[in-house]
Amino acid sequence: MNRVMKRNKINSDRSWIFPVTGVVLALYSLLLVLFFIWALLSSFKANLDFSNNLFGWPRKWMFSNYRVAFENFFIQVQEKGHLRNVYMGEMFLNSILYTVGSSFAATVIPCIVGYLTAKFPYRFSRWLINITIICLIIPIIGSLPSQLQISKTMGLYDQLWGMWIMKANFMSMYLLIFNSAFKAIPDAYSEAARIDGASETKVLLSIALPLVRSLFFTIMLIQAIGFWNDYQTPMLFMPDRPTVAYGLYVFNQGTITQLNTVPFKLTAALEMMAPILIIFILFNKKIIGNVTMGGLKQ
Amino acid sequence: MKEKIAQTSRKISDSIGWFFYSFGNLLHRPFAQRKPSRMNEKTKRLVFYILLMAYPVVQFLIFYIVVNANSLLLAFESYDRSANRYLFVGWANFENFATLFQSDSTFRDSLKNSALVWLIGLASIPLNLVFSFYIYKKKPVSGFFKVMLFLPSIVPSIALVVIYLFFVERAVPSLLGSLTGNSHIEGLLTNSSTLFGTLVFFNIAFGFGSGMLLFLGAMNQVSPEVIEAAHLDGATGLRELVSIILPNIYGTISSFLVLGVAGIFAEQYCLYSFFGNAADPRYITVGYYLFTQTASASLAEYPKIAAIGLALTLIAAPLTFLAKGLLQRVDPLEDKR
Amino acid sequence: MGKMKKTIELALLSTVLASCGGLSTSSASGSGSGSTAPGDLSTLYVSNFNGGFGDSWLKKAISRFEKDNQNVSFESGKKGVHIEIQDNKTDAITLESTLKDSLSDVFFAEGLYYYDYIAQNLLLDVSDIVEEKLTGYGETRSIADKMTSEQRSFYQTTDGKYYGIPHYSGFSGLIYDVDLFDEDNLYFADGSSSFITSSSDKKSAGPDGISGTLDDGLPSTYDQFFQLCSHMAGDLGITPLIWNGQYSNTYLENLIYALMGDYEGLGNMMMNYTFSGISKNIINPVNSDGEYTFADSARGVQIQPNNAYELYANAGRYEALNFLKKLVSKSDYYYNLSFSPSFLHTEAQLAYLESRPKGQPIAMLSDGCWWEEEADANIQQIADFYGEQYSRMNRHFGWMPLPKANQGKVGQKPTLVDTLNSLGFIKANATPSKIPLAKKFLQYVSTDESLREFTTTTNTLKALDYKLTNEDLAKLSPFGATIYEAKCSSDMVYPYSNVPMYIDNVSYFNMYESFASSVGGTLQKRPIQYFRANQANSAADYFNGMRTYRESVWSNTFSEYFVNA
Repeated sequence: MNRVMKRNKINSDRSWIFPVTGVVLALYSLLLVLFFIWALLSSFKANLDFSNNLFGWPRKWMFSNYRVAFENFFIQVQEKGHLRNVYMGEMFLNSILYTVGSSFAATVIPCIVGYLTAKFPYRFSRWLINITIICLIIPIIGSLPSQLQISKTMGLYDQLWGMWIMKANFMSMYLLIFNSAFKAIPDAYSEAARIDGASETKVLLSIALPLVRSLFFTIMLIQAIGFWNDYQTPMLFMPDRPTVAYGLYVFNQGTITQLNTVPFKLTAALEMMAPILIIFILFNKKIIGNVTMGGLKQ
Repeated sequence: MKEKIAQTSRKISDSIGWFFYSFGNLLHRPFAQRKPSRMNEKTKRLVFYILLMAYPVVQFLIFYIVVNANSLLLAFESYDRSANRYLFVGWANFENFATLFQSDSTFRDSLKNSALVWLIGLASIPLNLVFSFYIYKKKPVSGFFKVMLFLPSIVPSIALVVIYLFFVERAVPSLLGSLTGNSHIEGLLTNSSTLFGTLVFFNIAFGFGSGMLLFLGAMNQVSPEVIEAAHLDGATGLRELVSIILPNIYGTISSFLVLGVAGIFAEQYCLYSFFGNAADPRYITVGYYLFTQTASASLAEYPKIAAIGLALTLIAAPLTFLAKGLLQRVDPLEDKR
Repeated sequence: MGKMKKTIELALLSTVLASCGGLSTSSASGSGSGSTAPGDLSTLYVSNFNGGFGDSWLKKAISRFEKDNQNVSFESGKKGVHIEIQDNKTDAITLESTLKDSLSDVFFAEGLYYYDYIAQNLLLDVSDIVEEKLTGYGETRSIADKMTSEQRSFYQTTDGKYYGIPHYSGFSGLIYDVDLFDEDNLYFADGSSSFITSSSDKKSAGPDGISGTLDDGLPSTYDQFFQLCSHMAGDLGITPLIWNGQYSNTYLENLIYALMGDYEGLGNMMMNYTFSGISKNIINPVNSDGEYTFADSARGVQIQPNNAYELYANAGRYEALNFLKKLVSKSDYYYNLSFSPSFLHTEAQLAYLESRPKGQPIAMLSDGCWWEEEADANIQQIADFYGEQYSRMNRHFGWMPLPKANQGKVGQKPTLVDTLNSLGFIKANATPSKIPLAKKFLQYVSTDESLREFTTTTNTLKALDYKLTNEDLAKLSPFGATIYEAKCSSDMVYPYSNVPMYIDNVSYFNMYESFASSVGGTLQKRPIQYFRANQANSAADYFNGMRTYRESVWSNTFSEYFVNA
């Protein structure tokens, strides 16, 4: 790098905006850390200890809070004439199935439609892209009653697979992203495969999809985060298949005296966060490292 | 350690690729052994296209067109309890909407609050951009800050709400009480003068993640040559951000803004998570209002909610198009696209 | 080191994944696990809404019933009974759609609309056990005889059948710390507007206007009540009141209703559900000074379906609203977390219980009569921490007879309002072979012995008529004794009727829907939120708007029930 460029880069690096932003971010991070530390310490307190000692160390470390919260973190559902309790383990399973299934469905459909619209230049492909853009920017409000009605009519209500079907649509900005990604792949790859006798299916599955797997994985992860956090959709559409997010919401509203305390509610919240935090710590570079999505100015 | 994690990640994505490849081979094998088809290549491609498009199009027709058409129809219907079905009643539900707008200050307040919330979100975008820029430039501790900014997005929002609720209602008043000697300080969500600000802080402070992801991704796409050229011309950090980075990621920013306008009436602002059905009506948004109405609605009430939704769509849609048009007009690199 | 880190990471990840898949345990709740008794016993499943009243009363009743019937055959080839409880917190709306498929045959639930359930053929006809004299249990009365006339006219349908039995009685009001009142002389002195200075001073007569009764010294009027609150907060550093913040609207509306009921009395209150009678409590719009005149105090207003909206302008309603307006307008009168959405209702009970041992006393709690049973675990916690003198049997809490709106009302018989709509019933599609057993059990829990045991166990009341023996009274906690005393000395309003206009529109007349008001052209639904939104918002404006609103919608909603002039 020549002297001028080096000097200019140094000037750029010395800009006041960076130290100021750094300080703001440091304060933000500190606040977040203190926030979680307070919650963690409070979760180890007995109820009387918490109400009299909001900031100190627990007078007696109540590790049993975690076990008790885990055992009592349940929602009652109706199944085959029985009322039965769904505990945290099953809720995690429901969450994983709901998250993985819905995010896969919500990613694979835009991916396939993105491929079709990019590589099959029929008029219908152009219409589909234009319709998508229009529908994305036209907000439909108040369609929830209608959605509920239709899901009940079609027998999708209160079923995990029903949610997957409902989420398997291309109406999202990810269609446009996949469309751009597939357009950027030279046709030469698929032409060469066709010359060798490959069918369209083989071209899709063996040539096109593997080339976008990184993007696929990233989008699926981003979608999965949204589905994992969502408690309102499971609450409305599958009340007998409670997810962890819904479970925590109900736990928070619950009224069993021994559990209706602040330490227990904090414990339940932290228990719920733990698995996703662990996964994030292990894979954070993958999750937030290779995002290459751009804008959608079309 | 880093290499090992990268290796693991590569293995996972290879597995996904391998899965598709094997699945493709599995599907292909029966066809490979068949006699050559009489269909020509064009027809084969068309059949393939139709077969693969079938499900997505049908799904779109049912869960978008039919749902919204049903919602549209519901807006013009009324529930007949004795016959147990919906009957067409014309514009009656919209008259109810007009009455609601005139008589229900809660609904009017919710419209105002939705607009306010959107404006506040708009005002927070520069902050998000600056944070993203800091991380893009790989400034000191940027890796750690990236994780901290993204962390609230990764954990379930309901868990964050629970912790935040108790923090601002118990910890903060207690702290302030110790500092001021006043033991009667109300929680930040109880005190009506701090309630809205506390909600805003939660939504902004814990909402950087998804925006940061998009902006960072877009910044990474800016050509390094352009950056170098800017440095050659003496662009400082802020100048580089304003004159080079922002124009080049304008597409992402404008998409973000357009989608924000489109979602103006859908935003609940986590009110339901904090308050359930009992949020202070002076501070609710339209999104919250509609959600709580729907969650507790009987069959008879669905049409009224659908009518409100349709009326709001008719307001939001032109606003969205207007926003898109305006943003396109001020695109700094419009000539160069 | 790298290898160890990887091992730790993999172990953590495995633990996370294992916890997701491997630890899902699900079982039926409560003591009922779905298991059946040994094959020679008849099994009955009982669903119990396990809320504030708990299930210890039910366990005791089951234990006695099983013992009393160990040689009785209810099904061929079987002798004896085994009963399983299915505890739950299923709300009435969900129960409506799930009870047909439930394992349970007998149900104890609350908050349900009796006639809606009947219309959907969900309830079994139990007229035989309700009308049968309980001579087999040494009694001369039937269950029907233990109901009030209002209850009988409601629970007995027009074809003369009963489909359920009233379960527990749930009314709201104020609980006060008797020990604190005694220690700090928080009683009004006889013949004076000030407080006693020592325990030997003669106390005022209290709300019942009779000296020598349990309510001596307690505030007789609303004015005295607020005088007491000011004295506590201003002079003694005592927080007068506490209620839970999470459901503050609901709990305070319960209190408004309780005050209104106490003012109106049984006869006037019932008009709100029967839409007939003569009301002498209807008032003209209240002016900005809070003054009003009665609409027709001499003859009263003839109420019928056509004009029942006038009842939304009764004086008791205004006085109750005004009471609450005053209460919530001064932050010194209530605990600082009482409007915090983070302040859970059981926490409010705990804070109340801990306040005196901690040296930061809170005098009164606004809650339901079930609060002590609901707070049982918390009471024990306090006793464990601070000493046995704070145990349930040693602490003295009392059910506070509500003060009267004005001096003219002092001495009027107190009226309580039961708002929980709880019911014991058998589902219509119960297994035929189980029906005799189910009926016998449902009848059993309504015998005098079971009713008394319910009260001595929970220190709350069943919604039937029965008397406790001296032995029973000795088993009650001090609070329980005041609850029983309140029942004996008060009228009880059961807020329902069999009038078609009421039955067809039960949810419309639900207590929590009764507060809608048109204020300045704007629809308000929660009076407490309205009062807190602005100090200038008055009870008069809110009250005046209630009648205005009802009148505007009444004709459209109820014209089919109007009587011709």
